[in-house]
Amino acid sequence: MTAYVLSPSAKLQKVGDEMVVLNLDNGQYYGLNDVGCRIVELLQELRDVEAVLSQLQQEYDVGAETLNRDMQDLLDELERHELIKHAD
Amino acid sequence: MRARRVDTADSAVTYVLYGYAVESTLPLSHLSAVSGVSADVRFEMTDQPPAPARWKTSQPVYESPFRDGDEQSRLRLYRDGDTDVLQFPGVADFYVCGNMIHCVAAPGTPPELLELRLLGVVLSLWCERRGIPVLHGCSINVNGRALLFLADRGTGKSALAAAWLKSGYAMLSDDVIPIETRHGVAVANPSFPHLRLEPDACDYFLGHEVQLPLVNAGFSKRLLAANEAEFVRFEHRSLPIGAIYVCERRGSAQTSVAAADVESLPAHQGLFSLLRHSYLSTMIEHANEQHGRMQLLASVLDRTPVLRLVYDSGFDNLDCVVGAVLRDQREPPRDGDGVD
Repeated sequence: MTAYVLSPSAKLQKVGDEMVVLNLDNGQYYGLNDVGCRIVELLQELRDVEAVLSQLQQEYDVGAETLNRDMQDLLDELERHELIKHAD
Repeated sequence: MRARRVDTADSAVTYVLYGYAVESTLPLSHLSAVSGVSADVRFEMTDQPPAPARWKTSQPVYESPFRDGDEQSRLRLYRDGDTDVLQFPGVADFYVCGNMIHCVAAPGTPPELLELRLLGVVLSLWCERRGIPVLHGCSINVNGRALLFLADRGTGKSALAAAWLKSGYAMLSDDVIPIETRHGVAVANPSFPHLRLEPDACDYFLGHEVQLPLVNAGFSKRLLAANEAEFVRFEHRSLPIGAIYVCERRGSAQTSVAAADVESLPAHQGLFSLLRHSYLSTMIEHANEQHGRMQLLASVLDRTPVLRLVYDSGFDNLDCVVGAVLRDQREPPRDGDGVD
């Protein structure tokens, strides 16, 4: 099981269907579109990447492979910017 | 404001600025005094710091990258308990604490320079401390609603304000826009009643023969106070915000057809724009006030459209910009009501 949690320095702000994430450590803002916003919301709720993917498949009419790749790209990006980290 | 001047026991005078009553022992030359209003904040000139100046031995939380001739930063922010100290080296130290602002001026500092600092950075910081975000741009009354035009410094927002004034509209601000939510409505408060125009803009809008005073020695901009020219009308009321336009000026028009376009912005980019065009944006980032402001600005965004306004450079094109915005608003110009 791969699980992530939000970094303590990451502050989320929803705007419409989208989201802005502030990293308090470096003062940088990051924007997420509606799908990215939903992934982060589900990650907060479910933590487990497989569970998030399963839920996304129910919500979006996109192939599992594409969805998995796009989600992994986003998670890598969020982790690189220290906005999420692996759950202990 | 058309009220008479009122001298209190300590010669403090009350003015309304940014939507709040400011009681000041320094006469503010470009504002009209009001009476019968309780002060929201008091500004006091003093010879000594209001408290022991422990901040002088600490590190600033923010230091402006702009340097004076001695390579000193032109502005530093220190934090000493509940007090924020804005230090303008060689000019003055401003102590902002609660609803008091004390100023210890360097000997020989002209009062107009103190006023300039008070009306800009100092009162903006006071607003931000109260949870009133202050944006950088001009604000115009169009049909009883404030349209905000956010722009980077030096990109012609005052000239755009002048174009709106020339078209018969009144201005709430050409530089500093405090915004807040009242009764669930996002409103823009009025600023100081004058325009600050570059010399070429003065020539274009007023003609070569008109000589306006400099904003202050060392500044290139000229100061055009409300009612000094027939077309300069100032809106003293707070108004609900109709829309926020983020200005992007292109190079000079390549064709003979002037162009201005209004485009939608994704929500997160709208919030980015409000954050970026905050009057004290860099200072706030250093002072760790970002999270609260992000929440406040997002609540404004929930109530107000934020759009991108792209247009060609050139004073001749500004009428086209005004026209594009009016078409976007889909309403003919007419007078409207303010928000008390």
